This record gives sequence, C-alpha cells and structure tokens, in this order.
Amino acid sequence: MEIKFISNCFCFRKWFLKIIMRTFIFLCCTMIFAFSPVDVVSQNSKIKVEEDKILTVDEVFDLIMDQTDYKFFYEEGIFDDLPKIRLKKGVISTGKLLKRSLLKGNVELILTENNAILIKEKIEKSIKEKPQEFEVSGVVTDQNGQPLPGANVIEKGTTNGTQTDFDGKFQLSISGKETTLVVSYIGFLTKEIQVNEQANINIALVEDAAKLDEVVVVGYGTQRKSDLTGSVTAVSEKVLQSRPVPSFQDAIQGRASGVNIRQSGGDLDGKFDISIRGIGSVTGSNAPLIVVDGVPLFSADFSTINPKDIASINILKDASATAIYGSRASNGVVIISTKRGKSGKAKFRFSSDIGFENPINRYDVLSTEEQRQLFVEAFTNSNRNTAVYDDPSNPIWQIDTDWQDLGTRTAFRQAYNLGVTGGNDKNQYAFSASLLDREGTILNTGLKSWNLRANIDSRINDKLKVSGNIAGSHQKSDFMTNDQYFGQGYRRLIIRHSYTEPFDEDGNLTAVNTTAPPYFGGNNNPLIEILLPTRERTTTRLIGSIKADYNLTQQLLLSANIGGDVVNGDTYEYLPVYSIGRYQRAQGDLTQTSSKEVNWLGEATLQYENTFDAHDLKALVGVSAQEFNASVFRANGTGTVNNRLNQLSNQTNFTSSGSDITSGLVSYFFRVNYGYDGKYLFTGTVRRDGSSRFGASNRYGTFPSASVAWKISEEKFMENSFFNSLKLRASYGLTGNQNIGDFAFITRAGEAGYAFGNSAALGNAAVNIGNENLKWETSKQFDLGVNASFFNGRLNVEMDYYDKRSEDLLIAQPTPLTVGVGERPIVNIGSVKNSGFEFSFNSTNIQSNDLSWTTDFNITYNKNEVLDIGLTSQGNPLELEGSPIPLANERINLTQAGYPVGAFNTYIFDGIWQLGQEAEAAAWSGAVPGDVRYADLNGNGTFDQGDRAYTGTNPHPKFFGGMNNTISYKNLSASIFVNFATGYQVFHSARHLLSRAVPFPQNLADVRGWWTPDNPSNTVPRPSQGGNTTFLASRPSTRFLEDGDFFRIKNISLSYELPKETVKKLNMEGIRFTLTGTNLFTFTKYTGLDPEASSISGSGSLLSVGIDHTPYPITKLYSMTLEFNF
Amino acid sequence: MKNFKYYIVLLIVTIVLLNGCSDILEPEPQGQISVEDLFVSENDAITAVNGIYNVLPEFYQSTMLRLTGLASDDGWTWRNELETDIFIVEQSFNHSRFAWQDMYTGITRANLVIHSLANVPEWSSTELRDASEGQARFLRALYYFNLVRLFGEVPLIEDVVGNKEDASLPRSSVSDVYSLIKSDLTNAIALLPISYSGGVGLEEGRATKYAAQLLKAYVHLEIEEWSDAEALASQVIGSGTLLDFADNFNGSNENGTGSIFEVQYASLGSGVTANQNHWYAPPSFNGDATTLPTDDNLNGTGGGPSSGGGLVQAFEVGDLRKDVTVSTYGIPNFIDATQPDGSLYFVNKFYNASVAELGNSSWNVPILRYADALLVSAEALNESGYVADGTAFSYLNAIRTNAGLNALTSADLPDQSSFRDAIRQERRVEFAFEYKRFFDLNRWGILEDRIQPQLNFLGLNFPSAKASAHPITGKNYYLYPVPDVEFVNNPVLGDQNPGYD
Repeated sequence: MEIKFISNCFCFRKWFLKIIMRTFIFLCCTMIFAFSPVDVVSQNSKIKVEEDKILTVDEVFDLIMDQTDYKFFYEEGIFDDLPKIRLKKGVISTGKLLKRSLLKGNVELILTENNAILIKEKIEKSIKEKPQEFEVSGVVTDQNGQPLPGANVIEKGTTNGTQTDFDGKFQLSISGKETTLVVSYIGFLTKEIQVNEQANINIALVEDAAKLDEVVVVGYGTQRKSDLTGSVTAVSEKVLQSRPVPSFQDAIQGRASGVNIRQSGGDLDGKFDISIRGIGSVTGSNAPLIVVDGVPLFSADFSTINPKDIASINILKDASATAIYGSRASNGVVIISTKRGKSGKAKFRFSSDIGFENPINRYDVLSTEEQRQLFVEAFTNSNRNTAVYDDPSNPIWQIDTDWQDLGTRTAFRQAYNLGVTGGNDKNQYAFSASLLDREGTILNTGLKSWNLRANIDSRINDKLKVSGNIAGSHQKSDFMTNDQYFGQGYRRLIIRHSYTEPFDEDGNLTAVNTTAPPYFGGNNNPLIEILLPTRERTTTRLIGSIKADYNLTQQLLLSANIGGDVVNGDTYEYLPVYSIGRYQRAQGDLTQTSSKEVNWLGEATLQYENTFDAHDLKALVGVSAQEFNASVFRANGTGTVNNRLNQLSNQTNFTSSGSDITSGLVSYFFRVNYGYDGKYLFTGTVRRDGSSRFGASNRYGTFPSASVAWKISEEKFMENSFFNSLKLRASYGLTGNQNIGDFAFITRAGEAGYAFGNSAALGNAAVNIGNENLKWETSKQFDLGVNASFFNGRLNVEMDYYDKRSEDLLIAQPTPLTVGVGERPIVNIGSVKNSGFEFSFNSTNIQSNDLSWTTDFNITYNKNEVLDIGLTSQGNPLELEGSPIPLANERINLTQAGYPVGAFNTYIFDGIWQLGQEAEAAAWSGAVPGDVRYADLNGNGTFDQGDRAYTGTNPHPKFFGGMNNTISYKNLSASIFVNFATGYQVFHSARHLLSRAVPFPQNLADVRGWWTPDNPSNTVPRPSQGGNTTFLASRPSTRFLEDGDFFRIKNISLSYELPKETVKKLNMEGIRFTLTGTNLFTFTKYTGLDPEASSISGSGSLLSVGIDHTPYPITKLYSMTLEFNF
Repeated sequence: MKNFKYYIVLLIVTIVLLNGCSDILEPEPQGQISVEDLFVSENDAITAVNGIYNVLPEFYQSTMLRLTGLASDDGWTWRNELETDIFIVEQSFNHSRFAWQDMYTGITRANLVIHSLANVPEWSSTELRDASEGQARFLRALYYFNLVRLFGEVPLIEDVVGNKEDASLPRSSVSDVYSLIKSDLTNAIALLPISYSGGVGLEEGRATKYAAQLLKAYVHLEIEEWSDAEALASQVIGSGTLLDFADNFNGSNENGTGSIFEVQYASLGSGVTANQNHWYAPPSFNGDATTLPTDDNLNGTGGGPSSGGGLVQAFEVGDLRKDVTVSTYGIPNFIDATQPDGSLYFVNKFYNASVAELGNSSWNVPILRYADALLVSAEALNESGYVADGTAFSYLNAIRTNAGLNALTSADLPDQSSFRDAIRQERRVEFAFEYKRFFDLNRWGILEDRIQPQLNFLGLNFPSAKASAHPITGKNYYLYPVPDVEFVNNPVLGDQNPGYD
C-alpha cells in the first residue's frame, strides 16, 4: 500500500506532495481522539470544558452549540448587560449551564421542536390592576401560515402582554375593544393591529430582511449576509420558484444586478448567454463558472438540472467573492444550492404546471400578389422576361400559403413535481421526482425531461456529519437545426415563396415539380424539411457529491468533498428518402453522435473559527483536484432506400470521427475572514491553480484578493440615525480565465487525408502553431459598494461600482495566412475594461394586516471597452474581424482598441439614389437611380470597403435590469415582473436577406413602397434580380442594424391560497392555485421576432455578437399551477 | 479498537483520491501527436506527404471555379456571387483569400516534408524516399505556380514555419518565384517515377515524372520560354493517348493514359468527394446551376454578363466535345421563360448523374491531361517560329480529329498569327471549365478584350487599373488582390497589387 501511495503521486511537485501527505497524516492523528460518540443530546447532555475560562453569555451559547445540536435565537445585544461567567475545567449539564448564564437576566427560554431555543426578555406582567374588559385570542403565523411559537403580543402603551404557544396561539385580556396590539417576533417586522372589536385575530408577520441574518453560500462555506465584504447577489427560492421555467438561467434573468442574461433563443433545452459584469474575454469564453452543491460543472447542458430542486442561487461578482475559485472565476461564479431536508415530520409537496405556448411574434411577409408585383418590377429592372408574372389572374397567384401558420402550433406544456423533505435531529432528507413534457411551437419538436434527486444529511456522531447529493436526469428532445442565415428552423418558414401549395388533394406534402417560371428561387416546401427528418437528442446526466464535515476541535472543522458529474449525450439524425415534386433524396442519410463528459472533483478544506474578545477570526485552507474528460464519437452512414431501414447497419457508405480530450486542475486556496467589534471586516483570499491547458513553465497561476467592510451603523455616532444598517465595502483582487482549448501549447498533427484511386489515404498535417509561453488570462477587479437599510428594514438598497480589467487576454492571434495552419495561435495580449454601476433595492411599500406590497428593482450600467489588443506587425492597432455575414460575405463586427468588443463597423446606409443624380451614381459605383447609396466615408468618390466605419452603436446593452412587484391581499397574491435592456443594437439578418427587394426568396413586408420613378422611396431600393443593383442592395449596412431596446412584461402571476380551515379539512397543509403568463408583452422597436435573439455560436463568437439569424422563437406561455403541501 | 473502522475508511478514500489525481496536469493528447513526431517512421512520414495533397480537392472545386471559371468568358452566374463575374473583386474577397490560404497551407506542409524527410531513420526503398521528396517538390511548385499567376509577387517561404515571424516575409519578385518553381520541378523530374507500382506510399494518382515535366512546360509557356516549354512537353508526348473526349471526365479512365495529373476524388466514405457537378447541374436535377456557360442567345434577355463570344457558340459544327461540355437537358429555361424548353445551356462536364446526392461525385478532375502536352507543344512550336504543316499542325490536328473535326492545313492557317488563333480556339473548347481559360487569357494579355463586351451589357468597365505589365512577358496581366488581412499581419509584405487601394 505504501509503495502504491507514493508512486501514484509522482504527478505532483514534491512540495505539493508534502502538503497532501501532511494533511492526511494530520487527519489520521486527529481521528484517534475524534471518533468517540457522545450521549444523545438533551437538556441533560453534558458540556465539556477543556480548561478554566471566563466567557460572555454569547460565548457560552457558542460553546453549547458546538457540542450539542441546539441552536439559539435571540435578539442581538440582549445579553450585553449580563456579567461574564467563570467556568471550571470539567463537565457541566447543558441545562445547568444555561441557567447559570442567564441567572441575572430577565429572560426566558422556549424550546421548539427543532432543538431551537428561543431566548427573549420576560414581559413584565402588569402589576397594576387595570380593568380587563375584552378577551382577544388568535394565531400568529409567518407569511406562509406557519405558526410562530413564542411571539410577543402586547397591548400598545402598556406592559400588558403574553406570548404565543407552540401552535402560535395566544389569548389576552385587554383594556378595551378599540385598543391596538403590538406583535413582534425575532426576524420579523413588528406589526400593530387595531382590535376593532374582533375577538379573534389572525396575524401574519412578514420576514424582516434586514434583521433576519440571511445566510449566503459563498465558495467553500457560508457567511452571514451582514458580514459579507464582497459583492454577492442572492436569489431566493421564492423568486426562483415564482414561475415555471425550463432552466435556472431563465429563473434568474433580470433578478440580479450586474448579471446580464440574454435569452438568445427559444430552444427547448435553453439558449442563454450569461455575462457577469460585462465581457472581458475577447476570443475566449465569457461564461461564468457554475457550481452545483460544491461541484464546478464542466458540461453546459444546464436544462438537465431541475430548476424545481434549487433552493438558492448566489452569484459571486467581485474579485473578493470569486477569488476562492481562482483560475476560473474572472467571469463570475454562480453557486447553485439544491433543497435540503429539515428535521420534523415529512412534508410532501406536489405541484403540477399545465400550460400553453405560442411563438412570441411572427414576421409580416409579402402577400402572393405583392410578391408577384415584386417579381415583375425586379425582372423588368434586371432585363429579365416578365411574361408569366404579368397576369394576376393566373391560378398560381391565387395561392397564398402562410408557412408560419402551417409550421407552428400552440404547444402544450405540462410539468409535475413531487418532493418530500423531513428527518430527525440526526438525519434529514429531501427527495424529489419530476417530469417535464413540452411540445415545441415548431412542428416536430418537443422535449421531455425526467429528474430524480436525493439529498441526505446525516450526523453520524457529534463530530462527523456526512451529506450526500445525487441527481439523475434523462432528457429526450426532438430538436431542430437553427440559427442559420439561409434558413433553418423558423427562418425556413419566412424565406419560402407563398405561391406554392403545402399539400396535395390527398393531404400529402407536395412541392412544385418544375423550374419553369414563375417558379423561381425559394420554391420548396419548408414543411418537408421540418416534418420528414428525425432529429433526436437524449442527454443522461448523473451529478452527485458526498461531503464529510468533521469537527476536529470546537474551532477546527475538516471537510472533504468528492463529487462527480457524468453527462452522456446521444444524437440521432435521419434524413429520409423522399421524392416530392422536384425535391428528393435518393438515399437515406443517418448521423449518430455519442458524447461523454466526465468531471470529477476531490477537495479537502480545514476551517478554523474563533472569537477573542472583540476579534472574530475565520480561516480556511484547502486543496482541490479536478479532472475533465470529454469524448465524442460520430458516425455517418448513407445508402438506405427504405426509410424503415434507418439504422447504421442498414447503410452502405460510412464516415466516422471521434476525439477524446482530458484536462485537469490542481489547486490550493486560503481564505481569512477577520472582524473587529462587529464593525470592521476584512476578507483575504488567495488561490493557486495549476492547469493542464498551459505548458510546464506557466502551469501555475496565483490569484489573491482582499476586501474590507465598515458597518457604519454599528458605530456609536450612528445610534440615532435613520439607517437600520449601513455598510461600506471595498475590494480588489485578481482572478483568472483558462477558457481555451487543450494543448494549445504544442504544435499538433491533425488529420489531413486524401484519396488515391478510389481509396482513402491517411494524411497528417500541423493544425496549429504551439505556444510554449501561454499563461492565464487575468482579471483585476476593483469594487466599491454600499448596503443600506431604512425604515425598519422596509427599504434595503445596495449599490456597487466596479472596474474590471481583463489582462493578458487569451487571444487567438491573427497571423498571416502564410503560416499555413488553420488554427490561430493563442497568445496572451492586451486588455479589456468593463466598468459600471449596479443598483438594487427591495422595498416593502405596504405592510398591513391583509395587504402587502413589495417591490424589488435592479439596474446595471456597464461600459465595455477594449483598451488594447496589441498592434499589428505594422505597428497599427490590431483589428479582429467578426465572421462574415453570408450572402454578402462581409463582416459587420470589428474589435479594436478604444471600442467595445464586437462593435459594429459597416457601411452607412445613406438612402437611395434619386432621379437627377445619375452621373454621380454612375461614377460612385455604376449605380442608377433606385439603387442603394452608402456614405462615401473615405471621400474617394467611389464605393469601396474603405467606406465602412464604426456606427457608434454596439451589441452590448448599456443598461439592463428588472423589477418585480408583489401585492398580496388576504389569500390572493399577484406579482408582475418586468425586465429590460437598452442602449444596444441588433443586426437583423432576416431583413438583410429578405428586405432587399430581390424576389429570389419571399420578401418581408417592409419592402412595400419600394423605389420606382414615381415613388422615390429613400428607404427601400428598386427591385432587382441580379446585377449591380442586387449587389449594392446586398451589402450589410446600418440599414439592417436596429435598436434592440426593450421593456418586457416577463411574467404576471396571480395566486390564490386556499383558506387554512378548508385545507385542514382535507388533511392538507396548503393548497395553492396560480395562473402565470410569461412574456406577455414586449415593448420594442425591433422588427425581428425578439430583440434578445442572438446567434453567436462556436469559437471566436464574441467577435461576431449581436447578429440575429432567427433562432427558435421564444414563446408566450400561459400556465396554471396547482400546488399541494401535505 | 472501534476507531479502526475509520482508519479503513480513511485509507480507502486516500487511495481512491490519489489514484484519480495522478497525471491531472499532464494528460495524454489522445489522438494527436506533435508534428515532429511524424518523421520517426516511413509510414508516418508518408501521411505527411499525403497531407500536402489534402488542399487540392476543396481548392479546385469552389475557389478555382470562381477565380477562373467565372472570371473568364467561359462562365457566368445569375446568382449573387458576382464578384469575379463582373470583376468587382475587393481586397477582402473571400475566394482570393481562400486561394492564398490553401496554397500556403500546401506549401508549408511541403516545406515540412522536404526538410524533415532526412529525419526518417530508415526507408524500405530509395524509390519511396525519392518519390516522397519529388511529390513534395512537385506540389510546392504547383502551389507557387498558382500563386504567382493569381497574385504576382508573393512571399517565398521555403523553410519550416515555426512561428509567425517565419511566415512574415516580403513579397519576392516574380522571377524569384519562378526560379524556385523551376528548381523544384527540375528536382521533381529527377526524383519522381514515371508510374507507380502500388502499395503504401506508391499508389496510383500520385504525381509522376510526366506530371512534373508537363507542369514545367506550362511554367515555361507562361513566361514565354518557348523552347524549354516545347522540349518538356515533347518528353510527355508519346507517354499516353487521346481518349474519347467524354472519358476524360466520367470516371472511366481515372489516372489512365489520357491523364497526366488529376485531383483525386473518391466515393462518399472517403471524405474526399467532388461537388463540381453541384455547381453546374440544373436546379431541376437538384444542382445550384451557380455557373452557367456563356451563351450569345441570352444577350439582352436577362442573361446577365454573358453576352458576346459565348462558349456555347464557340464550338464548331460537329465538334464532339460540345455535348460533353454543355447540355440543355431539354428542360424549361428558368432564366428566360419566353424561350422554349431546352434553350438554356448548363455545364455538362463533371455532371455525375450516378450519385444519389450531387456534390458526392467520386470522379477525378483532371488538372493536366495528355491533350495539354500536345497543345502546349504546338503553341510553343508556333511561337518559336511558324512552320507550315509542321509538327505543331500535327499536334493540333490530333486534338481536332479526336474531336470529330477536320484537320487544318497551312491553307487554313497561313501564318503564325492565324495558327495562334487556332490554338487559342482549340484550347478554349478543349479545356472549358478545367480552370485554364482565365490563365490563358491573362498570359496572352487579352483578358480585357474578351471580358469587356460582356461588361458592356451591364454598363460596367473592366478594371484595367488592376491589370499591369507582366514583369517577364510585358503583357497586360490582371492580378487578384493579396488578401487585405495579410498586410495587417505581415509588416514587411510590401504593397498591394495595383488598382486595389
């Protein structure tokens, strides 16, 4: 065993080996003392005192909590006046210790069923005999109807009062029928209620966001929100579960400041681009790191993570928060925590969502008659014969097929979720199972997901706690190829001419069988391509982790976490044999792809936590190793002539390919949190990562950060201020980005085959130029933030300013093509700056007995600027071009220092050449009146590529955010959620293709009113088919750049909670009925389907952002949810 | 001893963890090796030789189609891909960039092979070793020959490219480029076998000595070194035969006696299939008909830049090559509906109706045929000095009679000039759409003369500023622009070709 142990560790550097060894030796030694079981915790359980000491009452409670399972709840400062307690070395019972500590205090203890002990100041029973005229009784609950035991109910202005019992009930004699009751409870807003002659009053208290010390999950641990020194946005379960969503990205869109989530398409398995605090990386990925229950994900199939299982999402934004994730943190970190069990009796929750979806929008295309006129005009202008197009009475022109209507449907969506949570003081569990069945709005598409999850927490003994999570999912979808300029998916439905029939008399698909005019251009039946092929994708994912927490001493906690994520994806695409009109496929074409992604993680951390007088100290050290493996196998076969012989073994011609790539990360990290007097807070973090993506000389990177916070409101001089709390934060730190391909540091040989005779011959050639000197991309971020709370915590405001500079960018460097390899070499060069403001508030506008109104709002301003991406070899600033727009083969994005990443740079549309300008037009570019005119920016009198320029607009929103309003009245609750983005443009490529007044494809309605000598339009050129007019009309330009600004009513929901009494009769705890409408209204000037649509994909994508090739349409969803708790 | 069980758990966890984390930071690059590691064995080195050929299939179908087929009086397009058809090529034109990129990709691969073959410790035969180097030199010469004809002066990269700087060289003079081409071909002629015996590395379809000789003959013809051209072409004459015309293109005689060098396409499973037929075939046979043959009958009726000197009209009556080269297939005229069915001509060469999917043809595409040897020789002989009814006549007439036409005599072609015209006519109908017409018109200095009548139809002018005197022949020579990105990324490249600033 010993030998194997060492030999396996050769991969590490010696000193790393030492650290590992020491950690485990340390672990071994401490274990001897550790695993002695202790008596069942009870009030008689014993507390061990290691040595004589003097403790404050707060410290006593910490001691008890460390050694038992009790939790204490009390108002801060309640014990400030109590004397310290002297404890002798030895053993003392919990009950006795508590009694001694509180001897001098005027407090009482209430034990609840969850081993929570409430401590509150005793209410002085009224001494004076007052006339007791009225008996009032009632129940105090939280917003969800859970009874609050131990709440104070006092008659206002008196000392007359009582406390609620275990069921939240109270009874009180008061002096009159018109008096007011004051109801208070720790962590909730105090409420005053007019008795108004009611003998029975039910009171629902609202949680006090400011006082309730929210716990936030940060990397490798949790922290009280009030103690945070970094910038973290928490999205609660309530928000996440407020509407049916297909994935977590959808649930947090518009909910967190600084986080721009763009639903760039309606693909059933989700199409979201997330950027946190702007785009830092130019050619690398900008996706944040996603961590689910401690496992950083590698695979991006996020829709396989059941959003119903999520309890909270915390988004780490500034360097102080993210640095603990080091090399992968420069784009921010999203930490997802799934629901865990709570001790208590089993609670079941069943919910069903049933709804209908429709595409959010549709295109307005020319009618057949208008298209016919376009043909006539275009063919006349291009010297083509118009004979067959001239007669409007030809039966062909009476056909007006609405392909968009035929190709889409109202889609049915259903989702069911069953969960149970519960446990006892030692073991808690949460299980869930769910099914989602979603039809696509485009025919022949759909998605089904099955999800299972089990989360178990087990306290094995008083020192050791083990938690396990495992979730399995299986997703099956019929998908559609999408987002292609010349028409896939939805674009097929708008590009084809309307004067052909979809079906013959027998209802079978039909298509024209001739190329003779008037058939011309886009004449095939798009339903053939939508309905006939089979495209199935199944994704099976198993993600899980086991975490052990072991208390070495009261102050030292050793944790180990082992996690894994296995994703198997299979795709089956069969293009069938068919012959419809002149469109046919003689042989079936079958492609099967199988991919496997395996990600495993092993981590160990040691955490120390202690308090010395006014000093709070928490320190964490840890090691982590993670390995990813991705393999893909793809086989294509053709040859079958029978569509039922649709498997690979039925084919005659085959091609196949495959790859297998492994990469890994080894990391060490350290974090210290220090607080003085509860006012001054400091956090320091450093992480060192080694990555297999870099050559031996630059394998390791170190990422430190530091932050400070000052809780001004805790200062004496702020005692009477109107702030409930006020905190200033500042942080600075470094994080990394390693989002590049593997093995960029060596010159690799790749496949480059040929054939001799008719036999394939294996060939090899260099695919890249290796760069031994590659290193991490580093982001340096400064953050300044304020958290403030006013009006008894009813208004909470958070503001941040950030300045983030990404340096040593991992850029795929342009080289002369004479290097002879396809892959651009990756180099570290240049920097990008993102700076901005984030502002958010949540406000309780109305809080009365029956009525409450809350508002959550956030807005972010971000400015993106490339500071430097190096120079060309000629010494000029480097320019990185976006991918060319098909048809014209010209790019519209250009990335250069001084401009945002992917800024638009194209021809400036300058109207239409008019009659009388013949000579100028001809000299400019052989143009004639009616042709499109572009500004002659280089002033040389002719149209050329020198006339392209920055348009002053860019693809990234300047402002974005969201607002939610919730109004509750008795059992009814309504919420309206809006999100918005502004200050950006979108290149609408459907118009580029279909609004040129070139009749080859069906044209969009906005070509109506095209230029003729009698109708001198200055916006739409004269129709043409071929020649110089078409060439000019086909240039990409500002004509197709449109403002993307939008304001969307993302969600409206109305819910009704059945009255408790009714529910009780049914033996249930709660029944809720909710109606939701998603994407109901979008206010925008954008003329495409959706202003968020974006078709970036593949590598180098950010250089070509802001282009809409008509992705799968997003939908309007009307849904009804029923939820049972029992 | 109840703590003992925890030790066991701990030990197991430790072993599992450490087993897993071995080699995390240095994973194996599965399926990929460093290029240097290819030259440790003969078999691996041969894959590197094959990699040089790899650029041919793609280059000769889509890019060369546009740069030569459309940019000549052979073809025109009714589609949007007008750039080369009407000579409005910009510096960023993607197909001139593809050509530049493909050729340099092949060149750098050839450089690596030429410089690394010595590292292979052992060869099973000298034939294999010599043929490997010979092919690398032949292909490098072919690629530079394409470059110098398309772009003029180009950077001369002869060594292995190990970094960006190695590839950032200034444009070399045209005569320096030709020096390298000639020396590579001289070496190739010495190294290459006249045929291949089969087996790994010696498969039929690789470049032969004849291919190198004929290519070198073309090089000399291009720069008007008539006697060298004639001498080399003559060495090829006698090595093959003239086939029945259609059999040059229909897959029936691949790498046979009518052929000297072909781009090898193979069946679907090989991943190397031809899609020329897809560009040419009519829409009703599911082709794109992107490129149509020029046809005077379309003049003024919507044909676009196809009017005057059309290819369809270039065939003499009775020329057997016409139906092989162009066909109407008897289908409706989708360009001009007023014309009867069967009035619109499509390119028929390369149209492979036997494959289920157009674009998946396995037929090879000839680059150098036996007919080339005859016509190169005839042209060079005539330029050296007209000889009435001399050898040049016999070569020309061999082509004509094979095409079903009458032989010509000095009565028909009484002088050098008329013989020259006859050669030019013969080359046009023999080699239509074989990527030669544009280069021929250019080297003869008559590109503008032939194109302007077609541009007249559109009211456009041939961009004569883009045609300057060839540094060796002095003839007007149209050049494509060096891709603009090259100037950005290579500081010492030099100036753009005239007419593109």
